[in-house]
Amino acid sequence: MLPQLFFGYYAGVIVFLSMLVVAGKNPVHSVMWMLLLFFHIACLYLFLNAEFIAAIQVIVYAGAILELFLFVVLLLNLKEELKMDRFIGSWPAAFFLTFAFYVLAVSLLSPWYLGLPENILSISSSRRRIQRP
Amino acid sequence: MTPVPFQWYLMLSAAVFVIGMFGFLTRKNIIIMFMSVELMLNAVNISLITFSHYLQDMRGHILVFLVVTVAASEAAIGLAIIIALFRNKQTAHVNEMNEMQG
Repeated sequence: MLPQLFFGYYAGVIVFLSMLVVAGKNPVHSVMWMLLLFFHIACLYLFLNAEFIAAIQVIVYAGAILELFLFVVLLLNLKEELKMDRFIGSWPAAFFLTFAFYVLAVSLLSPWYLGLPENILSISSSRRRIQRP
Repeated sequence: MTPVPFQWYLMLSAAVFVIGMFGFLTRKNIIIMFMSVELMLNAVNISLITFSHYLQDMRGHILVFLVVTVAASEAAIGLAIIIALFRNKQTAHVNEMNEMQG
């Protein structure tokens, strides 16, 4: 119960933060949300017993790549950004297509495709019975 | 305590990937497009670490090293190209970068 609760918090916050990164108006705010997102992803890696990858995630992604992004955003000095439209005109088509892609990807997670069947032991024992002369 | 089923991790990875894809296809600002690419790479990292944990195989971790390295170098070079482009064009919107000359 408790691991699922923790995972639910991290998953919800990660999805919400990624939506904020993508749809934010101010590019500096997007970089800040991305920093918080990377820390949450590192905590998710700690759940999966990947402590070294979590450390690498914080050091490389949050500590180097985001620095680069922040420097470039501050160098470009985009003031007129805050007054223009953020999305291109055909963004509903993109939303529909990406949602369809998500439904397709998640529908492949059916239990018939992944993992071993539950009766694997009885299957192998029955095969041995057939091959005996 | 029941463990977290691994399908939940894969659904999270697919969701982050799809959000990054939507941002890449839709935003006009080139830096936000770049950040959406990084978001997609992170989604793939989540999926790799999930499989590495649930199949007890270390090859997922190794591939994550590779992906993080490639993402870092690609971010560095891409941002350098963006700065050089901004110096010539004075705009950060991909709508207005529609000429190959100059």
